[in-house]
Amino acid sequence: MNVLIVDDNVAAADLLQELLTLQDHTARCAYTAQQALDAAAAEHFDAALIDLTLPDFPGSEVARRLRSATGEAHPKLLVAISGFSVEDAAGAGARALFDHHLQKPIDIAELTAILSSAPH
Amino acid sequence: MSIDVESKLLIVDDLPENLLALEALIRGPGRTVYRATSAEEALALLLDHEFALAILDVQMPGMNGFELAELMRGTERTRHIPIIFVSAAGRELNYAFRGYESGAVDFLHKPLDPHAVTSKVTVFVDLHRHRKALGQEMEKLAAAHHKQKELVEQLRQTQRKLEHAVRMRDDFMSMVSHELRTPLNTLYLETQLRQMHLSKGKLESFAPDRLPAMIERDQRQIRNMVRLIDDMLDVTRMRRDALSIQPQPVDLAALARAVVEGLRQQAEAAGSMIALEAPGELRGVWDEFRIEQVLTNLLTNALRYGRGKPVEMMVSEAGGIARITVRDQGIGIAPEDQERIFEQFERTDDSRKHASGLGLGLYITRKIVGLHHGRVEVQSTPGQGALFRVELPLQADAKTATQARA
Repeated sequence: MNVLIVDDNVAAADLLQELLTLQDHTARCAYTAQQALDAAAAEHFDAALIDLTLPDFPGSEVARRLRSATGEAHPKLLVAISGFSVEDAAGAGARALFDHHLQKPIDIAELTAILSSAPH
Repeated sequence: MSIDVESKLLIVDDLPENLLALEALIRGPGRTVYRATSAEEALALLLDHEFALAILDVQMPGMNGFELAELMRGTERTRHIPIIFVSAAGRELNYAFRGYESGAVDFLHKPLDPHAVTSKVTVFVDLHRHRKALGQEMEKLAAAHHKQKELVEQLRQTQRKLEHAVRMRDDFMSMVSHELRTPLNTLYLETQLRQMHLSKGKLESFAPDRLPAMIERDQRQIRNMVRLIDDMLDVTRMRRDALSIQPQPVDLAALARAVVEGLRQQAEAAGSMIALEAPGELRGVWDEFRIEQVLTNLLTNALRYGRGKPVEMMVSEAGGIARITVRDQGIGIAPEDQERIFEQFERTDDSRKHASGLGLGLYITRKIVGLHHGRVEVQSTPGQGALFRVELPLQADAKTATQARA
């Protein structure tokens, strides 16, 4: 799978990229919401992991823009990542926009399970 | 019924001997009798006193008793005073009828029947006493009601404060856990990566030349978490006024250089740099650890909200006061927020968009500066950055936050 990682925490994003690469995925990092949108426009991704708090605009807004009017997303699988619980993050209207929600710290086995459950 | 209610009685007659006779009949404990020999004199007394009863002679030179009664009925103050008319005229003159029209409650004919007079007066005095006592009860009741309303309002306010405090605490807990999860995430990803390297036999990641950087990364995350927890505990101590400082001789210039050096990496990561202007040495007596916290808080904020533009710190001394200024060219702070940002957990909407954080840095900063008898202030124009100025007397005495007025 080709995965887009969106997180302004450079160290965390890079680590995630390395972990996914070791699991035979390909991954690219974007450190701002704008970088993420640019990357998604330029390249095909199967999944995007999006931190909800980004410096330029919220991760939920990135997800909204990645989804077309019909609700179909490119990339197909959108996973929210945040320090908040699903319930707290849902307050930001993020829940419906994402297929999954992962709370930090991220368990890589959990992430792998989500990725492998996605249709290719 | 309380006996201390004084009943004033007004008797009006143009003949003093009649007045004396009447007074002798009606005086008694708890009663004061006022005599008037004309309607005019009676009116003057009516202005000064509150009467329980007025006994008016009908036939008087000048204004007669009925005319006086009409005047009394026409004035709010005297309208409710019961009036007893006294007349020597024959019953056949129908005076009683006119008397009732002008508001009399009773009518007596001369010669007076002493028993009738005393018993009638007693009835009115008792009525007056009852009314007065009732009035006092009503006043007490009204006062109690007012007091009760005040208490309820106080309770409501307390309830609002409590609800606010509970909400703040909940938000705080949620914020703390969110903030802790960020360094925890990095650390956890590191360990999972190492585990994966290990399980795949990729031992080159653990080569001796790569270990120092690995340790440094871990330590940075751990330091972040420790700082978050320290901030939380500091705030708890400050709330209990239990934070104290331990002043020791310190070189503020050297401390500033060390703090700036320590933040070099963080500045670079923010695309910024910190320019420091400080004398070779600036000696004073302060709590070094706490002042380091102040410098770090101000510089960290400047980097966070500085939009990647250079940050300047100046350290100087004049007139026994050390002055530290930190200037950024970032988003700035709206005038209405400039006081609020020093309160705990308070963050401007703008700041939330730009960086995560607990909203404790400036609160802690002001407390620490206050403990050093110093002060901290901010000048800012939104969009044009902010300037924080800290002034510290060169000698800070140890004292607790209780006495600090930051």
